[in-house]
Amino acid sequence: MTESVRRIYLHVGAPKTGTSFVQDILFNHRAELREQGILYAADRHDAHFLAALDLMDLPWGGLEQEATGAWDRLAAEVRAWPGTAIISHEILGFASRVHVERALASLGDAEVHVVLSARDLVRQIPAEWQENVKHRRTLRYGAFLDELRDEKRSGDVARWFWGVQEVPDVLERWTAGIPSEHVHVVTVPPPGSAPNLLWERFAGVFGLDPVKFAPGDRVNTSLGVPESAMVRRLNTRLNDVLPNHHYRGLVRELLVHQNLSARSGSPRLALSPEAHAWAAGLGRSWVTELVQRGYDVVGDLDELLPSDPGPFTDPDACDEAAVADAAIEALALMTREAARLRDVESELREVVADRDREIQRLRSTGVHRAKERFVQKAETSTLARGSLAVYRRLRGRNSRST
Amino acid sequence: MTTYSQAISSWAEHLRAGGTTPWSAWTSDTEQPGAAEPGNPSATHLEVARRINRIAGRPQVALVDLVLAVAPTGRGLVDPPLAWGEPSRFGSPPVHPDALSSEELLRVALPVLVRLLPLVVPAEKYATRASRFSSPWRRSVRVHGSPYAAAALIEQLREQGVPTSSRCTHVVLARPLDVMMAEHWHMSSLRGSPARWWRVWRQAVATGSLPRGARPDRLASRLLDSGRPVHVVVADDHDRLAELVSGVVGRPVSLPPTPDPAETDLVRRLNRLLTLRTGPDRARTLVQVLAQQVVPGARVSLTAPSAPLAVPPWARALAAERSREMADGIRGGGYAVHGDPDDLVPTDRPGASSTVDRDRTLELALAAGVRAWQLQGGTP
Amino acid sequence: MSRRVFLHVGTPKSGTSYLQDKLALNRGQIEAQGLEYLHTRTGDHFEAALDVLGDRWAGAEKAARGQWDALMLEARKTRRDLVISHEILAAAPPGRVRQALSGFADDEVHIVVTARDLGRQIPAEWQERIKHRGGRTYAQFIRALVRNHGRSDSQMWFWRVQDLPNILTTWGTGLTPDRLHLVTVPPSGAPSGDLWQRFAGVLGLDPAADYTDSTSLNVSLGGAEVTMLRRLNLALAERKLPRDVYIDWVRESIVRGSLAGRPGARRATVPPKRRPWVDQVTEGWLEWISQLGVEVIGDLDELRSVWPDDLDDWFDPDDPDAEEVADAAIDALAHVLDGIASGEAGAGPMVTRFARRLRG
Repeated sequence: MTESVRRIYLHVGAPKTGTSFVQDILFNHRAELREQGILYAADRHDAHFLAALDLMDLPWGGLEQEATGAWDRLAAEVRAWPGTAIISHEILGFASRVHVERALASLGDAEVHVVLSARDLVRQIPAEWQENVKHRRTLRYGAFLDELRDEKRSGDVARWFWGVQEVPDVLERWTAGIPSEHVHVVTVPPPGSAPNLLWERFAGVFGLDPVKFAPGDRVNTSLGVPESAMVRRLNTRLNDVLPNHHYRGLVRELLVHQNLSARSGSPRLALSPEAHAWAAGLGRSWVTELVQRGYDVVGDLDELLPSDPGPFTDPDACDEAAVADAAIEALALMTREAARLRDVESELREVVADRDREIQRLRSTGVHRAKERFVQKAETSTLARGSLAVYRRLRGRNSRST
Repeated sequence: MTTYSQAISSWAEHLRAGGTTPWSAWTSDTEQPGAAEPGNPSATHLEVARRINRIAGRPQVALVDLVLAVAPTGRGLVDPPLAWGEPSRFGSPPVHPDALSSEELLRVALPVLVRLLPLVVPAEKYATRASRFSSPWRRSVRVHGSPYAAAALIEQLREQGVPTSSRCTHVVLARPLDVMMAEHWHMSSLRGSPARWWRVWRQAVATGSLPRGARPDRLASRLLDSGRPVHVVVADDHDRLAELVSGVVGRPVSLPPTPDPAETDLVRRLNRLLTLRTGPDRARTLVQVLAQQVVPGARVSLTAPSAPLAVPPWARALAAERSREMADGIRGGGYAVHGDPDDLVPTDRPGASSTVDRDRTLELALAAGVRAWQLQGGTP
Repeated sequence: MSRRVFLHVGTPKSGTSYLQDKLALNRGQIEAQGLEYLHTRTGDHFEAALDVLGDRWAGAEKAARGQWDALMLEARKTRRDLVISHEILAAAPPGRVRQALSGFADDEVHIVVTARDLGRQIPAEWQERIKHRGGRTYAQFIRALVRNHGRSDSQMWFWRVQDLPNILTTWGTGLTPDRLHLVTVPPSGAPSGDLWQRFAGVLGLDPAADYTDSTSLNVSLGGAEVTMLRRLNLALAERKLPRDVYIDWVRESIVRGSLAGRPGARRATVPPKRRPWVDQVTEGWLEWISQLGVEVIGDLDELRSVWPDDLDDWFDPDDPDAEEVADAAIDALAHVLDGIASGEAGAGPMVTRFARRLRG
C-alpha cells in the first residue's frame, strides 16, 4: 500500500502561452483524469477563471456576479481530494502577495507546485495588443507600446500587462516558501516546432500520458495586421452601443475567431526594429535571472530569448485597401448572420406553435385538473426537444470566452 | 545605516501607533543602501493606513492591521514598493506614497469597507415604519418623478401617515435635467448598478432617450389617464421644491439636496466588489447600510465638499434640447404646474464638473471605513 | 366629353417617387379637384406597370400578372380624370404599350415624362443598379452605356428608361404633340416643391392649393460608399442571400441607416472624357424634341448637363480613397452588429428568452 501524496499544480500563467489550450484538454478529459487520481475540478469550462476573479477581488465586466464564492468552492474540492489536483488560469499571474497567501492557505497542507508557461516577449507583446483589441479596447499599437515602455507603469494597460507577463516577478510573488524544484517554468517552443511539443511539456509536468490525452487541432486565433486595425476601429464605433455578451458572440467568436483569423496572406503583427531591440534586451535580463533561480525548466530557457527582428507592418498606418477588404468581408459575413438568425427565429416560432397545439389538445380532452401536470410536462418537453436543437445552433458559436 | 526592510518596518510600526508622518519625511535622514524590495505591505496599503490615521485622530491598531492585511481589488500596480534609493530589479516600480493616485488607493480602501460593512449591525428600521396613526380622512397622495427626491418624499409622507390609495392626488417632482439624471444615477447605484456618470449619459445619447425618472412630462401625461388630479412641481432648488410641494399636499415637507457625487461614485464602485464577495442580494443590503448608517457619520470628517455634477460636454446639446422639449410639454400638458418649467433646463453651476473627483470619493471611502469601524465596535 | 387620363411613364431618378408619394398623400385634395390617383392593393402602380412591361423582376412579375387589368377595372369605377404613374413604364415595348392604351380608347390620353439631364442621370442610375445587387464598376457601366447607345436591339436598362425620343415615340404613337408633356427637373439646389408645381400644372391641378409635403427622399451616396456597396454585393454573391434579407439589411440598414448619412462624401460625376459624348447625345435629343413640338414644362435648357470644374481632379468612384472605403465598411459593420444585437434580425427577445430558459 502506497501512501498517496496530495499534490497541487497551480498553473498561474502567462496569458497567450497556450493556457486555454491546456485548460480545454483538462476540462474535456476531466472524467478520465479523475479515474487516474487527477482532479481538474470544474463544472463549467471557465470555472477556474471565475475562481481566480473571486480570489483576486477582480470585477470583470459583470462576470463577477457568477464568481461569488468560486475560489472557496474550488479550494474545498481540492482539499478533499486525496491525489493530484490541477488549478489553471492565466490571470492568476496578477495575484498580489496577499492573494497568494490567501490561496495557499486555502489549499491545506498539500505539496504545492507552481507552473508558469512562458514565451519570449517579442511574441508576447503583439499578442497582448491583439488580445486587447479582441476585448473592445481602442488603443492604437504605438500608444500601447509607449504605455508598456513607461517605466512608471502609469497606464492601466501597462499595469495589467506587466502584472501577468513579467515572468521573474510573477514567480517571485507566487513562490514564497515553495522550494525551487517545485517551481516549473514551461517554455513555449519556437514557431515551426512539432505541433504537440508544448502539450507534451505540460503533460510531463502534470504527470499525464501525452498520447492518451492528445489534443485536437489547435485553432489559430491570431489576427493579421489589417484585420487587427479593422477590429480596433470597429471597437471605437461599438463601445457605446453593443452589449458585452453580443460583442463576445458576434465580434470575438464569429467574426474574429471563426473568420478573420482564417484569412491568410495578411502580414502578421510584430515589433518595430526599435521596440524589438528594447524587448529583446529585457527578455535577456529575465533569462539571466531565471537561470540563477534554479527552477525546474521544462523546455529550454533559450527559447525565451527573442528571435531576430523580422518584417514589421505598422497597424496604425497599414494598407487601407487591405483594411477595407477585411471590413467588407466582415460586413458580408454579418449580413449572412442576420439571415441565419431570421431562420432560427422562424424555426422557434414553429416549435412554440407545436407546443401550443399540444397543450390545446390536452386541455380540450376535458378533465382539466388531472391533466395539468401533463400540460406542464408537455410545455417543457416539446420546448426542450424542439428548441434545444435551435438553441444549440444559435449558441453554438456563442461560446463564452474570456 | 538602514535597509529597506528595516525602514519599512519602522514606518509600519509608526502607523500602527497612530502615526501620520508621510514616508518622505520618515526616510529623509536615513541612509539608503540596497534596493527596494517588493513585498508586504505595499506602498498602497501603508499610505491608506496613514490616511486612515489622519481621519481617525487616535491610534487604531486593529484597524491599521486590518488595512495592512487586506487584499487589493481590481487592476493596477501589483504590490508597489515604497520609493527607495535603488529601484527593485523586477516588479512594480517603487512609488512615493503621497503621489499614489486616488484610483490606486481606492484599490485598498474599498476592500477595507467591504470587510467592515457586514459587521455593522443594521439599524432598527424605525425610519421606514409608517405612522401608527394612519389617517384615512387625509387626502391620499402618490409621489413620482425625480427619483432621489421622490423616494425621500414618499418616506416622509408615509411617516406622517398620509394614505396612498388609488383615489389620490399625483405629485410629479421635476428638477433641472442634470439634477434628475444625478438622482437617477444615485438611485440606480443603490440598486446595484456599477455604471459611471458618463455611462448614464452615453446611454442617453446612444439611444436618444432619457431614463424614466428624468421624464416628468411623460410620467405626468401617463398619470393623467388615471383620471386623478396631477400636479407637476418644478424647481431648481430643493428648498424651493419643498415649499411648492408643501403647498400642493397641504402640509410642510422638506426635501434633501442633490446626492453627493462622491457617495454615488463610492456606492457604484462597491457594487461590483460587494457582489463578488457577498452575492448581489446581500450587496444591495450592504450599500443601504453604507448610505443610511455609515456615510452620514463619515461626512463630518470630510475636508471639502464635492463639486456638483455637470452634463458631459458631448451630451449638452441633447440635454438642452430634451429639457426644453420637456418644459414645453409640461406647459401644455393639461395638468396643474407649480413653479417654472424653464427650470428644467440645466444651467451652469459654479464649480460643477462633468467628471467625478476621485479624490473626494477616496476621502469619503476612508472616512466611511473609519466610521464603519467605530459602528461595529472598534472603539469604545 | 371624354375624360382625361394622364400616364406618367418616366423617367427613373427624375423625382418620380417624390411625385407619387405626394399624389398618394394628397388623394383627398386632388380628388376634390376632379383628378384621381388610382387605388391599388399596394398603394402604388408598380405592379400594374410591371404587368405592362412583361419583364422578369426577381419573382415580383408573378404577383404582378393581371394587375394592369385590375387597374383598368378601378379606372372604370370613376368618372374623374385619372393619373397613372410609374417610371418603369418607360421601358415598355411598343406592342405592349398599344395593348395597355387600348383600354383608354374613349379617353383623352396624355403622356407625361419627367426628365433630368444625363450628367446627373448617369451616376444616379449606376448607384441604383448597385443598390439592386449590381456588381459593375462605374467604368464598366459607362462603357456599356456608350456601346449600347442608339442600338435598336439594345436591352440595356438605362437606355430603355432614359432615351427620351424613344420613350416619347413609343408612348406617343397616335397622339398629337400637344398631348405629350415633358417636365424638366429644376437644376440641383432648387426646392423640391418646384418640380411638384410643374407636374401639378400639367395635371390641371391648382399649384397654389395646400398639399401635404412628401418626406420620401431617395438617398444618394458618395462614390466611396457606392464602391464599398458594390464590393459587398460581390462578396455576398458567393452564396445566395434571400431577397428580403438583402432589402432589410443591405438596402435599409446599411444604405439608409449608415452609408447615406456619412459626412464629406464625394459624389460621382461623368468622367471628363465622356462629357462631350453626353453633350452630343443630349443635343440630338433636344433637337428632336423641339422639332416634334411636345409641350415642355420648365426649360429644355435644363436638360443640358452642367459640368463641375474638376478636370484636373476628377473623382473616380472606382478608385476612391481606400481609407474612406474602409471607414464606410466599418461604420456599416457597426450598424449591422447593433441591428443584430437589438433583435432586428428576428432573433430578438424570443430567442433570448428561450436561450435563457434552456440554459437554466
